[in-house]
Amino acid sequence: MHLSTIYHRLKDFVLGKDPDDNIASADGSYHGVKLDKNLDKNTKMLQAIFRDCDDIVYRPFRIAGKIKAELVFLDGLINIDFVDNYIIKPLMLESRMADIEIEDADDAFCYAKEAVISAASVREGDDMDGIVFNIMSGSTVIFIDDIASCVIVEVKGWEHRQVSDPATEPTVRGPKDAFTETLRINTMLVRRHIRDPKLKLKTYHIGRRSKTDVAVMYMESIVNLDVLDEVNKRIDGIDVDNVVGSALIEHLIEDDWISPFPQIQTTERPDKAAAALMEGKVCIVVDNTPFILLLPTTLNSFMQAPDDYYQRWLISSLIRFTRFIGTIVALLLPSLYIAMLSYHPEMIPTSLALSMAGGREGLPFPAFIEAFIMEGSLELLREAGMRLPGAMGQTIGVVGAIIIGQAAVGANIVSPAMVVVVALTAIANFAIPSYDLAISFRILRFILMILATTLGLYGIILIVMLIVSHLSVLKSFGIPYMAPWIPLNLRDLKDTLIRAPWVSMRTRESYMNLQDEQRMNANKIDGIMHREKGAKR
Amino acid sequence: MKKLWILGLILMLILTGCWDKVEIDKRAFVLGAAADVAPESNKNKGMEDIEGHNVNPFMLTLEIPVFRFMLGQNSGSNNAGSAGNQKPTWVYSSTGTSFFEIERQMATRSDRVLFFGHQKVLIIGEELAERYNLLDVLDFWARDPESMRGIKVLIADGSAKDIFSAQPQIAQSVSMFISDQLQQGAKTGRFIDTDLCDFLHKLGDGYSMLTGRISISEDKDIKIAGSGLIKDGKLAGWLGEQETRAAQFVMGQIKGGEIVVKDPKSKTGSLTFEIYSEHTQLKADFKDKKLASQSCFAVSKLVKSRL
Repeated sequence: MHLSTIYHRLKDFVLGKDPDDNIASADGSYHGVKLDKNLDKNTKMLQAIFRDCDDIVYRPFRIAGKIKAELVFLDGLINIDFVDNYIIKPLMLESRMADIEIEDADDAFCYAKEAVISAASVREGDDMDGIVFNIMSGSTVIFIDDIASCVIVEVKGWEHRQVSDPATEPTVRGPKDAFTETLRINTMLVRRHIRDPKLKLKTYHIGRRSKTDVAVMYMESIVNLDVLDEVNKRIDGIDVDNVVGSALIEHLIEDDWISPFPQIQTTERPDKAAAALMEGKVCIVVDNTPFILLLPTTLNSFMQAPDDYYQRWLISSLIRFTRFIGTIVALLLPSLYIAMLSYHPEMIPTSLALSMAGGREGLPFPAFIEAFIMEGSLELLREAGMRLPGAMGQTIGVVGAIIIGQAAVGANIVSPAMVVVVALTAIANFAIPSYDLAISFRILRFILMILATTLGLYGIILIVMLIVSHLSVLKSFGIPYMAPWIPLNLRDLKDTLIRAPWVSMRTRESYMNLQDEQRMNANKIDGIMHREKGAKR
Repeated sequence: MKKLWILGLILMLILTGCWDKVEIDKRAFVLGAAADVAPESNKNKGMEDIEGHNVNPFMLTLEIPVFRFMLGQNSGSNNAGSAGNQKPTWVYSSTGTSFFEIERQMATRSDRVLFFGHQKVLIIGEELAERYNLLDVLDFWARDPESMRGIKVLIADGSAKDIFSAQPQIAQSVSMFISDQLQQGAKTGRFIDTDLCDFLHKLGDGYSMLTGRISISEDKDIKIAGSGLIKDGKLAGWLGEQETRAAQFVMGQIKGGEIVVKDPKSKTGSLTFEIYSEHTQLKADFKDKKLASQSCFAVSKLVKSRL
């Protein structure tokens, strides 16, 4: 029910309803209020707004010993040393000895804003909305008596996690930095890869209460403008009170919320994000989330791992091939096991069939119950392993896999072949580089198993056809999800089942309809391909 | 109405599907079958004489693996003379008017569902092959949805049932032994490897054909050598090993084997050639508008040679 409300809201937006209808009345005691000239009035109002917010600090002082002023900030979000040394000290002490004579409030305001505060970002503000928002995001605000305006100094400085290793997408040869929870650090990490002013960044504040920073990044001269428009439109259409990480943004702007497939890719690697930008994708950076959204996404891009591009192309192609096989195994193996054992034993080679039948001799359960027991316990183990702290999580994995598997076989509950199937499936599932895609395959695996139980191979084929037809109509921001297979484009197949050598990937994917498709200077490639061997010593 | 249509379409997809669900361990895999003429003592037993015809003329013998003995601890130790219940296979037979009838009758004596999808060999007894049209005998296997077309069909020199009394030393069952041995045919050329598909094609079209001959010796050793000549659907006679090879040369079917010739130099020694490939041309010689004789030119290219 909740999901569908969101969906309708999104639809209403696309159809032209104004989503901002009810935003003002939400908590609007200070909405649209301008500052007063009287400092006491302003302070009172702030105190009313920040009632019971004990981490707000008010610091009354006098500029040049005479003009009343007040400094307000949120403790913990600002760099307190900076405020001490470069704001309060010059305004309070040094102003007395200044060359400029401070006569009245106007002088003091000018002095504060332009002369002494040596911060990079100093602004002027007069509406309560902006002031409150700035205080909440780590600015210090100076109110001066007799002036209906204030000075906003950006002195952000809070405790944050340092850039560390990518935990979910490790590589052997690639860079080892990963995004953190701070938006600015994340955008910086991307900018470090692409030093081009064409890399644009547009910031939204999403969440009526949380006011989370959301940055949309794209390469202006490459990106498909239709996609960009669509992204901006959909982000504009979000009206929630709290942004629960980038997942919420992802789920609110994706094309089909019923589909089991992830339609937006996430990454915690700056190099991957930068590469995606250069492929004409749009990145959405959400504050407080170390995962960046990349879109539009195709199924193929979930199968690409960063290491593919850091290894030689032959090796990468081989690895990618194994990955595709692993995907099929993860999806189909348990259901094929059920179907073949229950319905189609003639499809198993004779000696294998005999040994499987021998292994099942005397087991109390039919194959499908056996499969559900084992697959179910695998999911259980995975879930339990996630809850447990690091080292213990690994232990439970080993204990679960080996001990329970062995014991189940020993106790004649499952057959040894089933343990092999489950283990293979679990391992194959980890071969899928994207966690998002891997978990969606877990759902499909169970659906396939149910159909294999009731309808046999026919059921499996039915579901596979259903999946393929669903994928074929699915689109991500107007780009076909199955591209470049459906619709087929031979040129773009270079980076799918295989990873073609760089010299052959001269252009970007054509299904993206980019403004600039040129990736390499075609004239210089001949020189790379036909390098004279041993010409220079 | 539209919803009904959609519902109907979905039901059409879901209500069809596979219907023969039997767990793999609840099936009795028939690995080999032997078709015979029923022994005299069995005839007319338990059945009314129908219009004076000979009742219960056929006997079917099935070889079914016993998984528990086939795998694990005693693999490779299926020695002759080991305890009777340790045999890796279960062989039992029954008689009836048609093979389909016999099969259903045999199901009454088995706790598992008979499953012909993994059948490897079908051995036909000599007497049966001489007296009945093989096309009729094979009818059951041709029509059974489970049976594979690749079942090897052999004719036994004597009773087919006796073949299953053999005790192969390495293989786990007689049927597996036979089916694996037939695949070695390429190396000897001394027998002919025919499957159900060949039979149905050739006999169905009225051709005569050769098929493998299987025999069992006094000390329970199986030998597949020579061939049986089938004409008009019935066994017409036997060909020996060398004759079979010659026949295969003529037909251009030989795939391997050896040829021993006398060494022209030493007179005492001999040279052994291994056949690598061969090429056959058949030319018919007509005399007075009648087929007088068939001249055949079997040109064999012998590549490898060893002394």
